[in-house]
Amino acid sequence: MLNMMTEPRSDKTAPLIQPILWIDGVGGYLLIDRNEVSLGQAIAGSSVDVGIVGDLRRQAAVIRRLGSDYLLQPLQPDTRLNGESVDRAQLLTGDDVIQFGQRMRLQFSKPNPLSATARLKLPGHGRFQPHVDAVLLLADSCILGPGPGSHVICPEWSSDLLLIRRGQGWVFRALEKVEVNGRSVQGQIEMVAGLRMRGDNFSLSIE
Amino acid sequence: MLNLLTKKKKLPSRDALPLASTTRQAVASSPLMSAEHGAVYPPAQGKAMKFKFGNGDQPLPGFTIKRGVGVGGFGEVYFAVNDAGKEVALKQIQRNLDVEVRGVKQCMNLKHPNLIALYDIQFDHAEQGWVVMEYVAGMSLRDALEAHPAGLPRHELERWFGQIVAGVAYLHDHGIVHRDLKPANIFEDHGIVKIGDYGLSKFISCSRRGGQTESVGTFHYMAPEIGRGEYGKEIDVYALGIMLYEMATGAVPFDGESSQEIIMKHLTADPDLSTVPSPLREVIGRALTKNPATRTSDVRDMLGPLGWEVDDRYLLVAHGQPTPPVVSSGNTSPVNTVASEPPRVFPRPAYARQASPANNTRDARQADHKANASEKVTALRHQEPIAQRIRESWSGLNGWWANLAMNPGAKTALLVLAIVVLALNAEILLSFVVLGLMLYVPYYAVWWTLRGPAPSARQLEGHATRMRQRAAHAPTQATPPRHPLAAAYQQPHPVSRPAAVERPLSVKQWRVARRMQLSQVPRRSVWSEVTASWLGSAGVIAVFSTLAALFQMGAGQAAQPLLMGTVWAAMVMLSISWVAVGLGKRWQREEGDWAIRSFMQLTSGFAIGALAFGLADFLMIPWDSITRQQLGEIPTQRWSGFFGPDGQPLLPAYLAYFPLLMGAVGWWKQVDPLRRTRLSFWAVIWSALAATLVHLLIPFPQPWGALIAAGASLAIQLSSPWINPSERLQATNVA
Repeated sequence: MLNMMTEPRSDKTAPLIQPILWIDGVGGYLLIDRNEVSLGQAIAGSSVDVGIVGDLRRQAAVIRRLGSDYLLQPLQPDTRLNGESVDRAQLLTGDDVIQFGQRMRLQFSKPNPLSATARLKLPGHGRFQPHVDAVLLLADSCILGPGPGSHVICPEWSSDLLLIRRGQGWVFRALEKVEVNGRSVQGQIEMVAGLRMRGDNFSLSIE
Repeated sequence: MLNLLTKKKKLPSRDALPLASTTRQAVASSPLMSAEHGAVYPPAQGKAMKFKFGNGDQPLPGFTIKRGVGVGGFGEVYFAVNDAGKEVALKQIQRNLDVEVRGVKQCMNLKHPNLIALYDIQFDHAEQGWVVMEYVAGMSLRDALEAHPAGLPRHELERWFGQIVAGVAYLHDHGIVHRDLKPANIFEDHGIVKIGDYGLSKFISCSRRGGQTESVGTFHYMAPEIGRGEYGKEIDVYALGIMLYEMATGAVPFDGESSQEIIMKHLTADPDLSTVPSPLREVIGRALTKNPATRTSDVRDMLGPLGWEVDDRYLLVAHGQPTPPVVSSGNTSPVNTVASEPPRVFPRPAYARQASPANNTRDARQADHKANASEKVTALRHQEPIAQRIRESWSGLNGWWANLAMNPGAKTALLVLAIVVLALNAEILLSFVVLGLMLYVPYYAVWWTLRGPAPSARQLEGHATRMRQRAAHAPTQATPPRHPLAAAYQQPHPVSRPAAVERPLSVKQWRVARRMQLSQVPRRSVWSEVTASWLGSAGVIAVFSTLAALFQMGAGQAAQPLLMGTVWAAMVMLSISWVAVGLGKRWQREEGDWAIRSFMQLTSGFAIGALAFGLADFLMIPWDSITRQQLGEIPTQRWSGFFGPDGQPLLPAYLAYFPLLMGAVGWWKQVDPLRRTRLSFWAVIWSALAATLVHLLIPFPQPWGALIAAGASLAIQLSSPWINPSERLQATNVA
């Protein structure tokens, strides 16, 4: 197995509790900044990073990040990648459909070529547990904004909000003045649980 | 979801990128109740979403909010999870708490897979009501339509529309009219279509966020008869017709820059069905008929031609027709074959033409036009000559007044002078009028029985005039009935939008359009208008009473009794105008039934009568010194107990006179913002006349009775808001 020497963060120290970004009027997003992400059925006591309520194995697959590339390691026998049956690690192109069994489909995409951050969605049946709209596999930065290259498209926003890795944690970089937990702030805002940010025409929280 | 608000402006560029539409669609998923109402205008920056609560808040015990979903006309909607892990949508009820709660309660136990389930109503610590309901994680039909700017693929269209009809059929069979069907209210959850907002929309049908009195988007799906206050099942059929059109073509059939323009198109324009393939065309045509009586009456009938039906369990099933079943994608599907069928070159069968009233209305109108043109001539000839002469001279006078080149101040002074002169000579004028009326009424009765117009003649006349206007202003439309061949080869419109309204509206149509808007004005705004009118009428009455008293005293009348009389008359006028304004503003939402309204006014007259009596008693009005006896000489019925020995009216006289006066005059017409002119002297004269007529029955001291009626009419009209009807001509220019 390859080790992620290029990445600043070791998997061992990653917190097990994954933050969820809730954007009012847009959706909920599970944030995972590990290099190795396990996928599987969401059941009580499940240890997978991304739990899916659907017809798939408890350990269905692992997605690994190598620099700015992603590898799919299937763990379930009847896994298909873009329609092709796969049984060993495959490179993901950045716009892929992973299918487990007959019906369970998972969409993998890398919306912005300048960022290694990827996004997982469930286009058909099934849902993530907890119930979010997408899972963001955070690499180094993540763009929230109105543009098509955003990882989270917020059509009504007037400007982008960046989420950037800073040391062991993550910070928001707002271009406009925003209100954080009631205080007016500009510049960098550390992403912590319970954060509530409110701008001119948006509001979001971190759970 | 706010992203929808700016759809028209932003989408094209975004959709041009291949990735964008899919990601956007995906990211944009999960609104339960969208904030938007299909609005055309983008919101002002910063006006977007403001949620009172954020992640982790517990406004309702037992429920933890995850995020805000949308802000709708009914309040904020949140995605929340209860302590047991049940995911729900929480909708905060913001206004009209009682009616909304009642509406939700009525729908609480409806169960249908295509309706968003309502679980509960709960109240928080601040007695704020919350509707707890099913959380739907999919996109709305609005999102789906935006993802397909040229219309949904046929199988998608049938999937959405069939399930919507199933849900609406269930609602209708349970006595509920949705009233607010629109793409933003319809959602999808893993392929199951869910209709939302059905419990609330009965009471509010448009967005009122940010104090707006109207929401543009809502009008796209509004049936024309809503302006007349009709809220039958047919309005849902109409809305479904609009939605079906939008699903088929990607655009609504009636669009415009302003809500008024849209409403006018609902009232007058025919939908352009040339771009819609065949079975849909007929279904839409029948659903978009202007007259609710000839519209498809059962929503189920909209599905039959598409090869589907709603069975007894309210589930969507395939019809026993050659059309293929269930959701199938790909162009091999026979459904798609039908959808992409080229226009037929051979003549369509006769039934297809008959089945499309919207297509045929033009031909039918032409036939009407020919028939009515001759009717009109006879109808005019039948008008009573004296009344016509008076009307002509009156309109001449009105025209002279309107065109009088004078500044407004001078005009007002002239008006005041004329009123004062009239008031000073009131008794002479009144006796002339009464005399004239006594001669004219029997004459008119005789004339009417001998050679009066048929009851429908007036209607026909109006219709014929309208037809003429249309013919004059839209010569291109008055083409002979199109040959089917020509119809098949007709140039398609470059955009799938209907032709703009090119004909000016008749006053009646304008009234219906405006009435529809008035019906959407929230009660709060109506109330503030009422209070403003009350203040205004008080001002008007104060000014005119002062003037009248001054001139009367100047004419050498005894000051003290006259002052008393004037104060009394002013107070009574004020009470009449307040009651009339209060009732009239309440009734401005629809045209309504004159009999009921007159009766309600008549009933309110008792209170006014009692008040007038109390005031007269308190002020000790010296009736004998301020009454003109000449008028009392007219032979009238004497009622025992109505008048005292000196001729002063007693309580029964008040309680008989004022209800009759209130019942005899259509005061609400003078309050109505859609009245023809702001101040109609006819209305003032008619009010005084009505008072005189009542006086013939109950000889209330004159000139006070007539003065009160005329003064109240003046005050009501001057203080009530008025919408200038000439705007209807401008509105069509916009189109």
